[in-house]
Amino acid sequence: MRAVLALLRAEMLRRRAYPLQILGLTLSPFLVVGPFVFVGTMFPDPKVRTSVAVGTILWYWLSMLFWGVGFGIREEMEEGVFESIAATPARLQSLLAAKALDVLAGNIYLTVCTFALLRWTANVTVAVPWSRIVPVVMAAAFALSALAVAYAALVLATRQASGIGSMTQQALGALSGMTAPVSTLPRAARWASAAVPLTYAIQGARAALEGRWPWSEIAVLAAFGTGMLVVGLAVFAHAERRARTTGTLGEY
Amino acid sequence: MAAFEATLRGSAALAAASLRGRSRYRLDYITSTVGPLLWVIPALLTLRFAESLGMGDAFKDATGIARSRAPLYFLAGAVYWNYVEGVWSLAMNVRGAMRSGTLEPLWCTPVPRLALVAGWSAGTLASITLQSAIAFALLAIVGGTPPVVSWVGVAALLAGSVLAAYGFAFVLIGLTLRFRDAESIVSMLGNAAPLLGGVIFPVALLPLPLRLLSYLFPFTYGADLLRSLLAGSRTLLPAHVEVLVLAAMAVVLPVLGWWGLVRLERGARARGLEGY
Repeated sequence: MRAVLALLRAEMLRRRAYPLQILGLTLSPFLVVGPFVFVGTMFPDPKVRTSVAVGTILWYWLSMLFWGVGFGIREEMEEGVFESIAATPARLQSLLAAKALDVLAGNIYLTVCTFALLRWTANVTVAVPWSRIVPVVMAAAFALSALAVAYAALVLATRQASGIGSMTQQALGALSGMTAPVSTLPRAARWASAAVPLTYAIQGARAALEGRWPWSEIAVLAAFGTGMLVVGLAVFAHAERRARTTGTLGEY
Repeated sequence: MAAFEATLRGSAALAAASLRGRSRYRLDYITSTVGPLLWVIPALLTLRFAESLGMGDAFKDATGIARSRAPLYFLAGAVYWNYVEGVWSLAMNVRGAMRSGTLEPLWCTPVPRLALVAGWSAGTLASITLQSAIAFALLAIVGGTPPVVSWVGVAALLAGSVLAAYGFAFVLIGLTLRFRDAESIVSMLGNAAPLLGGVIFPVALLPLPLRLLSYLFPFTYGADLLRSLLAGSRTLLPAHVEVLVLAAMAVVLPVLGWWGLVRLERGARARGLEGY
């Protein structure tokens, strides 16, 4: 735990060293999801733009976790500190945990900022039912973090997986109904979307905002997160062992 | 003449290094080829959702074109921003050289800055052109073939926009040298551009303050013209006025950008180029 806190502190110090990153976190999510929300403003029913806003913000959460946690270890490799961290008694999994906590704090911050900016620019208004939304958001954070850990394992195994990460993240967005309910997807895509955790995160958040209790979505997210975390950590440990054996831990 | 040859050799060496980097990470290169379509699919799904709620006609009201042209409308914007952002992302090459500790040696070579930028650009522009061709081919396969299009006009428009984009790229490179942290600046500008330029929607939908910024943003007119050429959507200004704006920015922006780069580089040299 001490290692996680120390690494988390290092992440925070890094943000302080690059203050522009805070500004980026305040504005960039709005700028990224904005074009999709403004496609929604072509249509008179505000339900379209609100639905797009909820879906794209949660997709942005996944994106942050993918790049912050999954691809984050590549940054440590590039900066030449990955091997040094691996040489300490702390486990490399602590690094993933610290990065996940850092990103999740950033995700909460960016959600507040993005909704405020969308309210001002695109008239997106949501009445937040806190008791319903908090459990689904926590379950979503857990499941998406687990997915990011699996991606980290892929990065460690292949060294360079930014292209596949970017495409996977975009494809998961399209399949999860980030801009439209999955019922609007073609039949084959609907089947695929059932295997994507982001689908349940978005469906659950939309359901909570519409006043329903998203129990089934929370259950699926918890189950998926647990399974993916076990698999992701196992693959990560395997990739780490292999890299240690071949002496390529810091190579990319 | 010898100096020119040396410059060309330096530029070609960097282009070769850039291509070698791509061949080393083949998976990244292959997956990036479908990039533009990843803008189009979510936008089309939103349109489908609105249609399911009985609001399909609103697309025609907003863009002036039939629903059947929507894939082309979205794709034209996506391809356009792919080029512009591709040029802007040249600053990331500088950041990459900083990270790997090769910037100072590179900057000390006799190769002129412009040749360095040209070398980095070659691979990027070739790759984006391939991505765009694949995106249009895929669209044609699923039935979205453009109507009769002046491909010469499209090429000229993209060439002018790329030139103008270099103006921004020069400043971004200068800022990277001066302030080290390129990711935040490039990604924020790269993210702001599609919103201000209306990558997949008409900028008339933006609220007034953002709309004013959008009208001041030169690439808005390039994206608007390309959509008009490919999908037949109505333009913000008369087409010939937008062509003039584009031509002017293709001349003025690179000159201003270069001036900015030279000044920022001077400041960076005073503080030292190593470290990040």
